[in-house]
Amino acid sequence: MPDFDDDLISDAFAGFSAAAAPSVRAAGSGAVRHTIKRRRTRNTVALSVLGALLLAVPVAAYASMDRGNQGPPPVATSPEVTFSPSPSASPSATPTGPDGRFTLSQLTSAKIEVPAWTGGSGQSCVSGRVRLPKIKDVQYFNVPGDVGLFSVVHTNLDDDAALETAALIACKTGEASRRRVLAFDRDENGRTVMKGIVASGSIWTIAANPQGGIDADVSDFQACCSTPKVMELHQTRTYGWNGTAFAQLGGPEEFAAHDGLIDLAVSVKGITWAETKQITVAGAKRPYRTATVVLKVVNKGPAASGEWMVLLDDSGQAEALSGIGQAQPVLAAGATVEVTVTFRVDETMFDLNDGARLWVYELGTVSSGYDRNKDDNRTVAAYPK
Amino acid sequence: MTTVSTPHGEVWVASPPAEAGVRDFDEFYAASFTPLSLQLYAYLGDLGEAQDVVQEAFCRAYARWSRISRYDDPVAWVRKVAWNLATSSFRRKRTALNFLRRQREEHFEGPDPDRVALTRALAEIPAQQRRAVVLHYMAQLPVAEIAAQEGVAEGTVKSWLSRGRAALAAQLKKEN
Repeated sequence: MPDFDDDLISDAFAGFSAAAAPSVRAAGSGAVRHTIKRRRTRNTVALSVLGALLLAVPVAAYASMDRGNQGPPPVATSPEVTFSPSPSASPSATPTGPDGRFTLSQLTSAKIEVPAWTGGSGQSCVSGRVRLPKIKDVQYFNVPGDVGLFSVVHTNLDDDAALETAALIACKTGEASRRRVLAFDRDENGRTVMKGIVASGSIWTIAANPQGGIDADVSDFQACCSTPKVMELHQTRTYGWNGTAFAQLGGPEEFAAHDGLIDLAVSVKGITWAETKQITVAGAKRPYRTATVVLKVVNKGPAASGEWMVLLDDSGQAEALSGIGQAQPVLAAGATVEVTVTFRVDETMFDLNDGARLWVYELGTVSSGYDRNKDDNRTVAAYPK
Repeated sequence: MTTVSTPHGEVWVASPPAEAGVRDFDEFYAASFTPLSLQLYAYLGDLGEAQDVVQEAFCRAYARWSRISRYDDPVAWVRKVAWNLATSSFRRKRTALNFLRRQREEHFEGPDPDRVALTRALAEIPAQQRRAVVLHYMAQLPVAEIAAQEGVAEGTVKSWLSRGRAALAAQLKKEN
């Protein structure tokens, strides 16, 4: 390739870019958000049961606060401020102690007591009397001091009938974070008091338990990087005040790791593609086809598997509808099972790929650690051409 | 009271969440929209279509933004999706819309000679070579990355580039 040609082409591209750039009209990131909001509204039926429960409990908690028409609670802005107790006029409860309810804004606008982070990880994490910033993600965040406050719920965390505040805080330790639920109350003078650590571990969300304490969504590990999120095992555990200390009050106490050697293998037994159906996406009708795929999954052993699930590769083309990302029962060594999954694809995307990738993963282990042969853990559900 | 979307469903918080994540996406969009649109414009020869596929690619990125924002190179993801859309029949569905847009645009601005020369020359070479040449000269991707994006061997990309450059140079000389 003569250099002259290279220069000629480079100049042509440079001239093109300079001439065309002023004509580019970006619809704007606001339009992106608007589009996605519309698409998500379409998908509200997919709201998880967990999400619905999390919504229902706090709504009830807020409704019982009986603030009349005062609007949201005032937000303290200066550090080291002392909160006055909010008027507590709820007729349904007869609080005999100070009102210990704080909003997330109140707890993040003043210095609060954070117990020291013991152990090897979390050495950079601040403790003592510090002001914690709000964080939007309990695993990935970037704040000075590496500690942030994610969410609060109002629940009973002591012997009196008034409500306290459970606050989920996190300390960033690389790709994961250490989480703690702290209890906050007011003393007789209205000062903020940190009463202790209610729970700690890989806690993702907290909700008020109607009997007092909190229900925490706890996982066995924190998936990061290329490890699929759905490989985390989740349990709901209840923590609270047992009369003398904060302790686990209910729910499973441990995750049983599955460490028997297995070899899951998956293949496509049959695919049925439904007729094209027009579905409105971003205001335009798009032709979608739904695939019903029967998968044959065999455990070649030698041990029985733990629970496992089917995953759909997120190439941005196929959308899971059913049977994907759901825990499947254990599979004995040598046993075969058929699983039916459904997903849909915009048929104009068919020429981008030969098909949708379906994977099987054993749960309770990291990265299929005990699967002897990972090559047969995936298969392709071919697109109709 | 506010609810925020997390990977684990809606979570209740007592006040509106910080805007940090939103701002990141805005910056990313502002920095990448024009360069990507220009690449796709060179390939498709139609600015309206190029903007449509890039906008759609950003929509898909936004829907997965909590994950994609943590990638080393989020632009690579959006670029790949935009090019996938451009090479698929996604854009054929937009023909009527684009026709209207073209009509409107041409009222306001006449095509620039620089633009016409390159897009006409590019239109004369095969699509695969055109993609390789645009990704090389405009996106300034190394051969390995073009190969990864196109899902072919590096040798194939080198061959496309070599032929594409020769053909494009010949076309440009003709134009001049």
